[in-house]
Amino acid sequence: MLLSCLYRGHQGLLLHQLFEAPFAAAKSDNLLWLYQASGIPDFFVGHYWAALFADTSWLLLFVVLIFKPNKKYLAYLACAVFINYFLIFKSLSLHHEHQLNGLLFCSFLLLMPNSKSFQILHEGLRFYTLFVMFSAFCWKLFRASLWIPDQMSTILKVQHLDYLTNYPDSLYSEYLIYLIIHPEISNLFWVAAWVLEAVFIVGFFTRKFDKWLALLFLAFFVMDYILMNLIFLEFCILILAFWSQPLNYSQKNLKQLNDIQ
Amino acid sequence: MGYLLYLSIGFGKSGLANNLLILIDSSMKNTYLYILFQQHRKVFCCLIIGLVVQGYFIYKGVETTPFFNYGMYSEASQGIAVFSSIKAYDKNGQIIPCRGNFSNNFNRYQLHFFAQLIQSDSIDNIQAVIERRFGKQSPYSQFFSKALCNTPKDIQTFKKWFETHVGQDSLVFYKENFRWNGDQFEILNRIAID
Repeated sequence: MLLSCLYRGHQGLLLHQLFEAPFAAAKSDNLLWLYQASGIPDFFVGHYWAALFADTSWLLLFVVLIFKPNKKYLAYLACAVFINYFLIFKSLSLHHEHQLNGLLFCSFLLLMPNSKSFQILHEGLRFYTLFVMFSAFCWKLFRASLWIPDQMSTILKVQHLDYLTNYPDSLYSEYLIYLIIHPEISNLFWVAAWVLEAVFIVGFFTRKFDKWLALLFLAFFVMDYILMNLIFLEFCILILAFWSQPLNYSQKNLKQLNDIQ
Repeated sequence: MGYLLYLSIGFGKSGLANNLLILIDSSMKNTYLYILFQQHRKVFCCLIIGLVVQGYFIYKGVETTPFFNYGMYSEASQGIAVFSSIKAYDKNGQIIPCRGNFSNNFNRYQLHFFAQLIQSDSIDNIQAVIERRFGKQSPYSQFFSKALCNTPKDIQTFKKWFETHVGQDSLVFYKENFRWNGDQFEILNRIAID
């Protein structure tokens, strides 16, 4: 959370750095509609000092939480500040951003009152991560894009249009063009991606392969960066969900948990 | 649960059926949902409601925070003849990078949104969505239109804001159309946006 704040500051994407941004797009997101209608986003975007205060609070609260992790009111405040940023940035980015989703869900872990609740949510996040990956496969399956022979080649053209036309002679452009003009090779990546996404269904039935799934999860987003130039750095926090403890409480486990509390 | 399955699949009381039911029953007891149902009934109810809502938004193909859809790049892409790009150039003709990191991607979306608004005569697309949801004349429509729609005034202030944001002045914006000629993009035309 802290690293995300620093990275976004470095990228010029904190609220005070987006002061007076003219456009906001809530798209079809009902929650964003309501938040936008509440006037809160306009207040932060229109008042530099309020935005700076919100950004500084994000940074400081998470620094303090490192040293005082048990202060629940600080955790609530920190989450509120983060969710405020999340909702405002989602509108200002004018695009359905998913990068911060992982942090959004993980932030709720900070609010859990005891180890049992933490475990329930942590385990729930594991299933959510599996859902993310497997549903991505299902979308491709049901929209039938899996079966289009030059799908990846076209995606690469659309995705890298700016780069290819701005820097046509760069090494990265040569690599992209090679993939575009060889759809049989680029489609191998496409097929590999959906096979990899499909594999996550295994996680719904067994935890035996969690370490492998974690590795595949990471590999997917590394390849996303190399091929598509998509940066899902913050989203990768969900990899920690694969280290959750199972919820199958035997009476002995329950007793142990109660003893801890 | 096991008994329901027992009834639904119509097994007789054979040894095989009994063993299968015992197996299902014992494996069910270790599942996340079953444990939640047994020990944390409120969390279970919230989860079921969450799953239903998530299912609804998947069915509708839209998303509402925190019910996200992960269908990026799943649309069938083929037969695109013209590829359009919105570019910003500084006074020396140097291009403003719009790809490669968070910041550049953010700028790219800003430029595309700006061009889209110009192209639609300053009418925000969200207006149509509001009218579809609430009707043209309803008070809700008026309220949300005021809160959500970007206005011609926003479009006028964009250039100045964007120049400040990227730390450049005297920027010019172009919509450039390309076609793929086999091994590279070939420019078709270039239209100034202002």
